[in-house]
Amino acid sequence: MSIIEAHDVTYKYVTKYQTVNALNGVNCAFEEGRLYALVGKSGSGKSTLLSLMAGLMLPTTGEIVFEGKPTSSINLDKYRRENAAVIYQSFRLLPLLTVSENVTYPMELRGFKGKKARDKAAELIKKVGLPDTVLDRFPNMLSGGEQQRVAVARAMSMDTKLLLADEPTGNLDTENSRRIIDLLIDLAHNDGYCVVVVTHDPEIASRADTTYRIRDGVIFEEKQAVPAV
Amino acid sequence: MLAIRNGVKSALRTPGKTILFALILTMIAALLAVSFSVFSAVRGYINDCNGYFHTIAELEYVGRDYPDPFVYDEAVAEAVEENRGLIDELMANEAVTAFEPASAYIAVSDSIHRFDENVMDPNAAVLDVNVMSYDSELSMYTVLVNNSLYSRNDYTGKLVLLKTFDGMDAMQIGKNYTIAGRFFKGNTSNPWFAAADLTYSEGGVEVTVDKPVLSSEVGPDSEFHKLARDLHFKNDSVRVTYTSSIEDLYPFHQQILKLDSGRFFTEEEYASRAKVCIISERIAGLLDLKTGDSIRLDIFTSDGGNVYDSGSLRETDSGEYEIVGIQTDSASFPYRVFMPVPDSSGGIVNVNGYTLGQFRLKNDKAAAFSEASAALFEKGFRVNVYDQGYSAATEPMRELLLISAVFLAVCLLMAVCALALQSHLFVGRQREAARTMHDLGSGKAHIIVYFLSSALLLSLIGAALGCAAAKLMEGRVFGLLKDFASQFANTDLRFSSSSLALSRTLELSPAPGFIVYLAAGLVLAAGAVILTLIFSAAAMKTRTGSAGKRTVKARVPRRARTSRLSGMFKYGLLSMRRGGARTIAVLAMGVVAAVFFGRLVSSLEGYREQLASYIENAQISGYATDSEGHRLSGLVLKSKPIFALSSSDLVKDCNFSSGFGHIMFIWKVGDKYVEYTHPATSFAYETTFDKIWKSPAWTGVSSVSGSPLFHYSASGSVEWLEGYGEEDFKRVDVVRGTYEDYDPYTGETRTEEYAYETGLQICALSRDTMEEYGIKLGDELEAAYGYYADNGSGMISYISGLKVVACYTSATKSSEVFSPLTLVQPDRAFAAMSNYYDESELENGGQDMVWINGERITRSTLAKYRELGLVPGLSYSSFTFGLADNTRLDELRDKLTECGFTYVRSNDRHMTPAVIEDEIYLNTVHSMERQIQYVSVLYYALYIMAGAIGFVLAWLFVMSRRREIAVQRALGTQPARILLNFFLEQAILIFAGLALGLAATKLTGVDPSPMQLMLCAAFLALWALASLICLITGLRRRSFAALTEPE
Repeated sequence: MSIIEAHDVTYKYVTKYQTVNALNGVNCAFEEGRLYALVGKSGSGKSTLLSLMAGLMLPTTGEIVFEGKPTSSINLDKYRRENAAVIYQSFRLLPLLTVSENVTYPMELRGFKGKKARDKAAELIKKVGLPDTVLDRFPNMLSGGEQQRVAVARAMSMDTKLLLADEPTGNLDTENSRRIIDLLIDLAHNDGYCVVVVTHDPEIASRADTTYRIRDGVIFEEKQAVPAV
Repeated sequence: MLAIRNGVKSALRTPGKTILFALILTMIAALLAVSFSVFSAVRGYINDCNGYFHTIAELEYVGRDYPDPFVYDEAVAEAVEENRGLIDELMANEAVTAFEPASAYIAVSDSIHRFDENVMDPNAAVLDVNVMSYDSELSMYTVLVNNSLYSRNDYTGKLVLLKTFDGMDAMQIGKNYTIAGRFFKGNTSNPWFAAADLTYSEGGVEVTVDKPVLSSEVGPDSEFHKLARDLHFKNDSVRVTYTSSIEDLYPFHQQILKLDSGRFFTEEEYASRAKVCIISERIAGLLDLKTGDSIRLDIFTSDGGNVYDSGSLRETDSGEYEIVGIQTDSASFPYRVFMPVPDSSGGIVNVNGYTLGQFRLKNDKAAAFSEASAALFEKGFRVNVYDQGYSAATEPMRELLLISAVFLAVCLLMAVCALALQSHLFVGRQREAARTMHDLGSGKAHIIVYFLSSALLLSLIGAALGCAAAKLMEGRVFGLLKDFASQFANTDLRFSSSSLALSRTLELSPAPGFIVYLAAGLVLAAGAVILTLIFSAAAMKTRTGSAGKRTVKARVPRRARTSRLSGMFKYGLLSMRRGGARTIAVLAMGVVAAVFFGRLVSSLEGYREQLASYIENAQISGYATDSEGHRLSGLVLKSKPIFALSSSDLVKDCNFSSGFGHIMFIWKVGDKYVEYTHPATSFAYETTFDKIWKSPAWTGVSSVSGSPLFHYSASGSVEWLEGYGEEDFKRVDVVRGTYEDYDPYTGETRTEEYAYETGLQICALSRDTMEEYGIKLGDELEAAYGYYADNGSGMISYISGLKVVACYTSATKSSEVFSPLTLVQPDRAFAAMSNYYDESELENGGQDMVWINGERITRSTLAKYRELGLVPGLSYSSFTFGLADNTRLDELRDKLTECGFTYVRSNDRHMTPAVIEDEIYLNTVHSMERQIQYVSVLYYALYIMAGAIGFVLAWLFVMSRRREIAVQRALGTQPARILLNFFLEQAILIFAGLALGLAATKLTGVDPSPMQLMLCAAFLALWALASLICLITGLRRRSFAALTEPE
C-alpha cells in the first residue's frame, strides 16, 4: 500500500516575466520498504515534486496525499517534523550544532530529549558508518561524505516513514556516493522506509526498486517496481 | 551602435534596479547640486564681504584730556617716542596694508568767519578803541571801536561799553588803546566788553596777555597782535585732513560723515595731490559754496606743538581748491576739510588730539592684529578696530561654509559610493557577460561601450533629474540660507559694543548661475564614466585570471563539547555561545553604539554645559559714554538715569565718579612741607591758584579698582595700606560738632549741635605721584583744591589729614587722586545727604517730598540714593556697571532705554549714550550656540545613521542565516520557535553589547545620561525590529528557496 501519492499534481512557477509549468498532471504513488529514483533532465520538475512531497510547498492544482490525507489539509510543519525527512545535496546541516546536536535536533522537536536522544544519535551515527569521535564535531570539520552521512542520520532520527533525498550524492566522490546509496537501500529494504531519491546518478537509478522519469513536468514509470523485500 | 543598444537594453530589462539607481542618483545629484550651490553662494558672499567691508584700526593714546581732538598733549609725543619699537612692529604686522598718520593741519581763509558752538572762545576779541567817556557809577568806559583786530563781529565804528577790573589803570578820554577781553551780555543795546586776561586752557591753547589794556602805541609784533592772530587761527580755522583713502577714513568709514553731494577723490587726484577738497556742509553753508566751486585756503601746520599756536605755525600750502564734494556735518567732526594725498604709509607725525593715525587692515587678519596690539594697550595706547560689520557678517557664514563644505564632501562621497555600487551591479556583476562578449570576438572598446551605455545613461538621467530638482528647490534652499543669515543680523544690538564697529550691512542674495548645476551634473557624470571604466577594466581583467573559482575558507570553530542544553531556546543559546565572530560582532556593535552615543551625547551636553557656564560666569559690563562711544571719564552725567539703573536688580557693581572740577595741590605730607608755600596763609593766592591748575585731578569714586581709570585701561593694580580696602571708599562717617547760634531778637547765643555724613578722609595716589612727593602709604596730606561752580566761578578749599591708603599703577600714567565719592562731593551734596533740605517742602500733596538740588523726590527715593552713594541732582563724570544676570541682557537693553540712556551716535543729544560691552560675550555665545546647533543637527543625523546602520546590520545578520532558518523549517521546526530563538539571540546579544558599552561609559567616570539610555533603547529597538522583520519575511514559505541555493 502506498504511503504517499500524487494525484494530478501540477505546479507553476510564476515570475514577473514568465510562468513555468514545472509539473503537468503528475500521478504517482510510493510505498514503504522501497527505494524510488526520480530521474530526468535539469528543470524537468523532479526537485519540485520532491519539495511537494516534503511539504515545503503545496501543488498549484491536484493533491499530494500522505497516508490518505492531502498535504493541503494538514499542518505542514508537523508533517515535515513527523512524516517527511529530507536529505539535500548540500547536506544542510546546522553549522552551529555539533554532529550529535544536529542528529538530536529533530528528536527534540518531537519532545525526545536528554541522554536518550544523545544515545540514539550516537547509535544512528554508528549506523551510518561514522565513528563516535565525530559526535562532538561541528559539520564543517567533516568531509562531504561524512556530512552527508550525518544528514542521513538526522533524517533517520526523525523516525519517519518517508525519506526524501535530493541528489544526495551530487557533491560526493564515487566511494562516498556508493556508501550513501548502500545506506539508502539498506534503509528502504531493511528498515522499511519509503526512500525517494532525486538523482542523475545512473547507479542509484539502476539500483532503485522503481525509477520514475520526469520529462517536461510529466512523470513516466521507467522501471517496473519489484515487490518490497 | 550594437554595443550601445545592448547596453541600454540591459539597463531597461532590469527596470527595478535601473529605477532604484536612477532615483538614488537623482537624489544624490540633487543633494550634490544643492550643497554645491550653497557652498558657492556662501563662498561668493564671503568674497563679496571682503570687497564690500573695509577694516581699519585707529591708534590712540589715552592721555589726560582724551579724547579731546584739539588739545596738544606733550605726553603723546613722549609716549610715541618711548614705544616707537612697538608701534613700528605693529605697522609691520602682516594685517596692515597701509598706515595713515594723523596730522595737525588747519586752514584759514579770510572768508571763513565762524559762528558756531565749536568755536573755542567765541566772545574773545582784540580791539583798537578810542575812549569816549567814563561813567564812575557803573565803572564803565564808553569806547568807539577804531578797528577790530579780532572779533567775531565787526564792531568798527560802534560804541562799546567797557567794564573795568580791579587794579586797572585809568584810561584817558580821547586817547586810543588796544584792549583784549570778552564781550558779554549786558542790559543795554550796546555791546558790553570786559577787559580781561585771555588766559585759558581749553583746547590746549594757552594765550596770556598780562596787561589787557595798553596804549595804542603798539606795533604789529605786540602781544595783542599775536593774540588777534591766535584767535583767528583758533576760532576761524578749519581742520584739514589729508588722506590717501577717504572712504577708509574713520568718520567716513564709520558713516559718521557721509557724502552729501559731489564725489570722493579719484586715483589721479590722490596720486597727483590735486588741489581739490571735500568740505563740510557748514563751511559750504557759511560761504555759500557748492560742488564745483573753489575755495581759497591757506594751510598751516605746527612743527612740534599746538597747531593753534600762531608762534609755531608754518604755512605749508595755499591756493584755490576745487570743491569736489560736500559732506554731511557731525558734532564730532565740525568744520572739516579733506584733501587727497598719495599713499605714503609714513610714521606718526605731530598730532593735536589723541588720534595718532589709522591702519588699513586685511579684513580676515584684523583679529590677529588686534591681539598683536595688546602690548601697546599696556603702554597707554588704544587700538580700536572697526570692521564695518565684516566679522559679524562673515563669521556665521564661515561656519556655514565649513558645514556646506563637509556636506558637499559627504555628498561627493555618497556619489562615489552610489556610483561604485552602480558600477558593481551594472558592470562588476556582469563579468560573465563581458567574458561571453569577449569570447564571441567583441573588442575591449565594444565591451566598454556596452557597459558605459547602461551605466552612463543611468547616471546622466540621474544627474539631469537631480540638477533640475535642485534648480527647482533653489528658491526654498536659498530662502533658508537667507533666514539663517538674517537670524544673526536680527540679534538685538541696542547699546551693544558690537554695534560700535557696525556701519554697513551686506545682504546675502545668493544667485548661483546655471553653471553651478551643470558642474554638479558633470561631476556626477564624470564619476560615472571613471568608475564604469575602472569596473570594466576589472571585469575584463578577471577573464585571464581564475575568475569564478573563488575559494571560500571555511570557518572552523573551536571544538566544543556537545551541549546538554535542551528546551525551547536551546538553538538560540547555542548560537549565541558558538556564534564566534558573529556573536562578537553583534556584541561589539552594541558596545560601539553605546559608547558612540555616550560620546556624542556627552560632547553635546559638554557644549551645553560650557555655554551655560559661560553665560553664568561671563562678566558683562557697561559704561556711560560720549556720542562716539569713547571710554572716558569727564562726562557730565545726570544722577537720575544713573540712579534709575543702579537701583535696578539688572545691574551690579555700579561705580560712579565725580571730580566736580576738583584739582588738588598737595603742599604738606605729614609734618613735611613739599612746597614752602602755605596756601591758606600765603599772600600769593594767584600762585596757589596756578599750582592747583597744574596739579592732579581729585576724583571721588565709589571704588578705586572700579574707577574709570581701571575700567577703561583694563590694566593696572592697587596696593592697599594694611587694614584698608575698597569697602572704606563706600563707608560713611557721621561728623558731629557744635556751633554758636546767635539770636538777634533775644541777643542770646546758643550752642547748637550739628551732624552730617561724609566719606572717610582717605585717598589713593598713583605711584608716580607718591614718588614725586616722597609719599608713603599711611601718610596724611594737607592739600588745597579748587573747583569750578556751575556758573563758571571757581574757589579754593583746603583739606587736611587726608590719609593715603592705597597706591595704584596704571598704563596711562594717570596722576589722579581718588577719594571716596561722599568726601569729594561738594558741600551742597553733603547738605542734601545730611537732611539739610527745606522742611517747608515736606508733606506736599500727601507725599513726603523733598527738593534736592532742583529735583523733587520722595524721602524713600532719597534713602535709596543715599544707599547707593548718589546725590540727587548732581552730575557725575563716569558711570560703569556690571550685568547681574547675563541671561537678562535684553532686559537690560530695555531698562537702559527706560532709564533715559541712548545709543552711541544717536541724534538725541539730551540723553546720555551708554554702551554694554557684550561684543565678546555675544560672539562667544552665538558661536557656541551655532556650534551646538550644527552639532545637534549633525548628531541627530549620526543617530539616524547609526540607527540605520544598526537596522541594516541586524537585517544582514539574520539574512545571512536564512539557510539555517530554511533548514530548521524543513526539519519541521515551528516558525514561532525559530523566530523566538533568532530574535532572542539578537536581542540578548545587542542588549548585552549596549549594557557593556554603558558599563564602559560608567567606568570612564561618566554616568550614562538619560539621552544616552534613550538612544541605546532606540538602537536596541531598531535592531530588534530589523531582526523581527527579517525573521518574519525569512519564515515565509519562499524561504525554502534558500535550501536549493548554492553555498
